[in-house]
Amino acid sequence: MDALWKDVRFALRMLRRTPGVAAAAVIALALGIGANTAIFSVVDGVLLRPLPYHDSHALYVVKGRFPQQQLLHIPISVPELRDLQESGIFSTVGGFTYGDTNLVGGIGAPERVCGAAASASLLPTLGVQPALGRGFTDEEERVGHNKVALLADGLWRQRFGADPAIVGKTLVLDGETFQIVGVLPRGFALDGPGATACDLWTPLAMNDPSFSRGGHFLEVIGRLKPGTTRAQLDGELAALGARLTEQYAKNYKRAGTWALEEKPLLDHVVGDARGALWMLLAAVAFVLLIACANVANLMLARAAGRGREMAVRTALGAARARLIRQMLTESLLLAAIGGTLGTLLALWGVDAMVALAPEALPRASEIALDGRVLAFTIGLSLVTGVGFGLAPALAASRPDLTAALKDGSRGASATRGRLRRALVVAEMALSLLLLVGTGLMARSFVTVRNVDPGFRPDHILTISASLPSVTRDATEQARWVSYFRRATERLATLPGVRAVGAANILPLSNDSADYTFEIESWVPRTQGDMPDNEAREIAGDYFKTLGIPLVRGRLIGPADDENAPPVVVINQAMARRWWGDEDPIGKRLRIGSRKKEVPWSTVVGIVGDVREVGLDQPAKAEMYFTNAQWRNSSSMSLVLRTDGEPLQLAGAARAALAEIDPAQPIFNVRTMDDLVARSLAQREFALVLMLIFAGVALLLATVGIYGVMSYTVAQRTQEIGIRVALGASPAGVLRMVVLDGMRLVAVGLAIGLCGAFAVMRLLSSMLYGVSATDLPTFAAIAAVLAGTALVATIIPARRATRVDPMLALRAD
Amino acid sequence: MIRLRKLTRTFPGSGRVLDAVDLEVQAGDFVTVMGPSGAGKSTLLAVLAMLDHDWSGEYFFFNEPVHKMNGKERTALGRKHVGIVFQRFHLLEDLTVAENLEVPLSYRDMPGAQRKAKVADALDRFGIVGKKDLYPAQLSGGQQQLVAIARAVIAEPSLLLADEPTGNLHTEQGAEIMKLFAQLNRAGTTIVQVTHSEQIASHSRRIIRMRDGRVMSEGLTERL
Repeated sequence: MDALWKDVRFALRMLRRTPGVAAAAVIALALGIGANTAIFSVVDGVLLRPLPYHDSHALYVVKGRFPQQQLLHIPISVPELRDLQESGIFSTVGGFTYGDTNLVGGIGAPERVCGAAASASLLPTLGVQPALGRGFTDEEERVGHNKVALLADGLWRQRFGADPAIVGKTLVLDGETFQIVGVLPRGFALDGPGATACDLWTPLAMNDPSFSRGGHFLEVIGRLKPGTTRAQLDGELAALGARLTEQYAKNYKRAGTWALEEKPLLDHVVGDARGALWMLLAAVAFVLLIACANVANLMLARAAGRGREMAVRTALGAARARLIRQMLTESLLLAAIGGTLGTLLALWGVDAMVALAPEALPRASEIALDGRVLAFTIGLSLVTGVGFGLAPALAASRPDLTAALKDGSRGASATRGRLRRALVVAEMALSLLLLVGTGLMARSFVTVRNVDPGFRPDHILTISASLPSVTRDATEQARWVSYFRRATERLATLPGVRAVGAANILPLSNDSADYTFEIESWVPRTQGDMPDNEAREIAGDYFKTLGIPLVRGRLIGPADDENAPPVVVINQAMARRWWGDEDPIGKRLRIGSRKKEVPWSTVVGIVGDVREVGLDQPAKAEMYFTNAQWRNSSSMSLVLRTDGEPLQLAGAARAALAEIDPAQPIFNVRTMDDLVARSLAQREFALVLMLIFAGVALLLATVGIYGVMSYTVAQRTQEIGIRVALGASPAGVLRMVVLDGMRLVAVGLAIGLCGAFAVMRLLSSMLYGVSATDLPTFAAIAAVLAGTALVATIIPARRATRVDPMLALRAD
Repeated sequence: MIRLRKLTRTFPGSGRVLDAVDLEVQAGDFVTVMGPSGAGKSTLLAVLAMLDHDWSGEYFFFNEPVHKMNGKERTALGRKHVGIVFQRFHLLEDLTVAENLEVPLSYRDMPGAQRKAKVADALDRFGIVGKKDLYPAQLSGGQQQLVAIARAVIAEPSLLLADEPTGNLHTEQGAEIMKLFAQLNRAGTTIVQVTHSEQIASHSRRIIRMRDGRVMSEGLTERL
């Protein structure tokens, strides 16, 4: 212990003696370790940490599918949830659905809040106990008995002042009184792609007769029985799906076989983020490797200057292991200082990432630099210290005793020189890999950004309104239609507004609604081929406002009201899918074929395709109904095409809507450009981080090659002096040194290119419009690296041309 | 104490640096090895110190057959019995005088308290207590060599090897060092030194003259 402490003190002294070298090493290590710590904290919070539920590994999300229709990941209906509960496949299974609601109660004016309706079994399935009060009972899952509510912790604090006596008090939701039965624990949220943290929960009325077997809207989570494997679960779900298909043939027959699929809840929550996060972790690992190579080179150079010291220590009795331990102590000390600074950098970096994190980054609230991450950092610092310190330590612990002691020479060795050059080659190769990956991501992003979405997102203001939806009877439906008609008419009169429309689901809003429907006189191509695609409910001048072009026929207009014959407009993808080359204009279809009273709607027009799901996803088949005739949606988003900046009209728009109904809350006031940006947010987020890491890697690699070439020139000073004395020109010396350096670069780039061809295929799923082996990208990156390395080599090469041969020859 | 039989050391490209050397050194002896540059003197010292292992022949140290030991065993034997003084002192520049003295002790599994006691004793014995916190760069040549000698003997070696111990010192300093060597020898330390100077050699009891890797002559010193 005493000897170790002496080594530490000596190491500190050595660092103080060469502050420049120490600073360079610490900075490189801080960048490498800091970046790894920051990204690991994200990976840990999102991917590795169990979900905050009891034994979360046993939780699975259940979805449905119609394989023949290629309709996958469909929500579950209420009857199907009951089937799952009765099947005994899971130890418990619960379902829920989101639904905004108008809240009156507590502190503040009425507001629109995020609500969710859940079965009584949901909280027990998750293993969550309310922090105050209780969960829902089975009795409360019945119509007329479900006027109770659980508050989220945030709402309880903000709206009800964290009242400890809240249980038993009441609030009003959409005009109806609910009794508060409990408060959920802090941080409780059901994450997932598109999920939002809900403010309050009410019971799902499972016996509501309006919840049909075909009404697929529930998210379902089941807890696996102890001892059941995933394979067994799949088998049981398959058997249940087959049984239901046969038992309820009239519900499923037309759509084909009804099947059930499962996914671990963590995978469902993480969604598409997994691939991007692992890629980022790989990128920062590369940065750390490059930093280690840089620092190893620095250590080798220092070791070369300490040959005499090592020889003396050996002569005084030091065993080789002892010398290695001493050198490694210095490396570990550097790594510890670098790791500490890196942790501080990571603290800042994690805060910045969480603040800038796109909404699509799941579990962002669980990302933190905690004990687990610190343990990772400590371990990484140790491994790093050994990683970059071992080779120099091994090289330094075998001093040439006779040479070093006899003439006091510094003991530079050929082995160390080869090792330094090998490290530079490695840095070049790793940098190329990282830069190529970044280049491909950048090209991909630019390609996606330039994709034509099928509409014009510029100068569009969007405002959402969700009207009360309690009875869903004709009176309520008429109220919805009336509100949105008056809203579109009133907003169209505002100065600076060119056109106004509305839709129940906007493009790129991370929402969807597909319906099975019947086409008149249509013959299915294969058994089970039942028409099913996306449907939208629109109002006002929706197509004109969004700039969706009319391809053929006409658009829905004011004359297409509740008294006019039902009409529908379809997009080109739907026309192609169901009619092929046949003209669909004049054809008829209807949604909800079981209900004979639903009238046929005539196809009156075909519009251009819109990329609803994402700019990197093809357009889906879609049909558009006017809300005056369909009357299915109480929530719609208004869209206003403006002359100037859309948000400048937000205040006037709010005021105009308040004139129509002052008690009707509005929300999601934002621009269409914002929606587009959000759809790209995850991709952009990953790209920005990759660019930062690639920049750091490039800097480190450039510094690395500069350092090695500077050292080589210093080592070859006498040789250069002799060459000049024998007649070498400055240009010749320059060429000699530059060629020497660029040879290293060329080998590194060649290795990197080979590696890139092999490795970049792993990125394929994240690229759009660019191949993983895109030659122009590879060539451009190689050229950038070579150019940068050339500059780093020329500077010491020019120094070499200024060597005074007489001074060089006299020097020892 | 030391017996060499036909000890040969060859360097690639340089031929035989030591050529079938036969040599004996008795315990308590004070021997000088002399010869022109390239005679093999420093190489001989390196072999005696068990720092150089690439030789052939026989080497007995206290009747232990060093030639039959592996590198680790030789190093251990050398650590136990041999102290070395270099021409260029080779003090560790980043350690104080006291810390330099402690270095060989730290390689000998000695408890901290015992090391401190020995260092204090050595500082006192060599009259350098006042210099214990100075760095080598703050000392004169003679003082540095004094510290180097103190470092070489602090672990109480049986054998002290000195390679041109006064080579970088002026005459008066050299004389002081030789006086010190004589004291150490009287106290029982066997000394083998290499030097070019007849004056310095005269302080020893035997002189071995080498040329081209061979022992040319041996004899008692004629006091000058």
